[in-house]
Amino acid sequence: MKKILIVSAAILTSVAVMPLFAAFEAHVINVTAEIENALFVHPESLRFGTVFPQEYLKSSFFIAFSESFSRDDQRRVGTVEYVIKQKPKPREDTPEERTWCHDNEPENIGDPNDPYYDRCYPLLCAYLSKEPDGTPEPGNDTGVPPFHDPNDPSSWAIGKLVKFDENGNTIGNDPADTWTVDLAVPCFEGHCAQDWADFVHSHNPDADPNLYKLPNGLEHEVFGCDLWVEVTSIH
Amino acid sequence: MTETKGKFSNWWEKQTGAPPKTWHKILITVFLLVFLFVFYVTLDANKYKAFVHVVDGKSVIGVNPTSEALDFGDLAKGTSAVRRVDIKNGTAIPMWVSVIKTGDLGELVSVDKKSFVLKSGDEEKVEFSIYIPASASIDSIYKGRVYVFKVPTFGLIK
Repeated sequence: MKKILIVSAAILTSVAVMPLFAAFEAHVINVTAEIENALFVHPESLRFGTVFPQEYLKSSFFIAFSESFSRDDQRRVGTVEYVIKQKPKPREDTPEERTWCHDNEPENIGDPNDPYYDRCYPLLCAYLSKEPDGTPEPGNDTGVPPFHDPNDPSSWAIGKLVKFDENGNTIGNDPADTWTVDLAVPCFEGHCAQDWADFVHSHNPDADPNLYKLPNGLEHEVFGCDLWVEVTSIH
Repeated sequence: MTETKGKFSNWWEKQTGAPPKTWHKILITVFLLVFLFVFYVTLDANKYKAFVHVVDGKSVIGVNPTSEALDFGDLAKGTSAVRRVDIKNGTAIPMWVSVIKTGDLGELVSVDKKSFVLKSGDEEKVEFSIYIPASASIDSIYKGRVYVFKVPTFGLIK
């Protein structure tokens, strides 16, 4: 009888303490760690090699849902929105060097001996366009022409991948995007052809051709730009 | 309670041939408290599955930005990806946060903050970066686990 009483008391105490423990866990030990929905992806380097002023070269990259996201049992998220950002490219591709290049800038942009260029490439981003694939018709992505300010958020290309719509319907979905990345090669100050302005305006009518001439000192340098796909929203 | 203590003393005496001394009792209590503390920290740790699928092709990216796991998606060789874990301290005491990664994926992933003290009310983002090297095998899935331990410092670590 005494044993039964002790066991019953222990069970009752446990039952009474459990909600208290849950409250303690939820409110007092309130340290949370959550995986963000955001994802940053850096496509493999697109190499344009040696180029000449006013050349126009094309490359591309492909972005889609992953195999794990495409599985039938993944029904929680149907749409992924993302932007393509452009950032300075480090000469050595490590997270530390990347952060350093993003947080600093050259003191004299036209001086190839500027210490900044020891760790980061001169910036190519302004001359890269991002053209969407236009599917499904009439297209749900927004591209960016070359000759733009890479630091201006309005110069980020915007993309959307759709697995299913809000009704769970897959008709007209968009599980993949192919982005064409064009390089409109700039000229160097004092060495630009007479039709430089026409070349700029043919790709971006709103651009000021004088803003996109490169300093002479950077001739023969290797230029670079990191493209980052950043997921901004999922629903 | 007295009976319980008596039973413990009897058990101790049977095992060791002598009744427990005060320092024995203190040591056992301290050991139990430490065990409970470690048990709680382990139980409270956030445990995430982490994986990446290496795919064929050039500049091919497959994304899965959902928050169920540290899923880096499908990545071709030469591509990289970053995922973040947001850690908030809503308690009144500072916490020492330690991030541990295991498995095959652990070798490919780098963490920007392996351990740090998170003050009361503060928030910190921990970045997990992965780069798919040329030596990675196509169509293989690299798996691992990430543990985020949160240990109350009681002001002992700054």
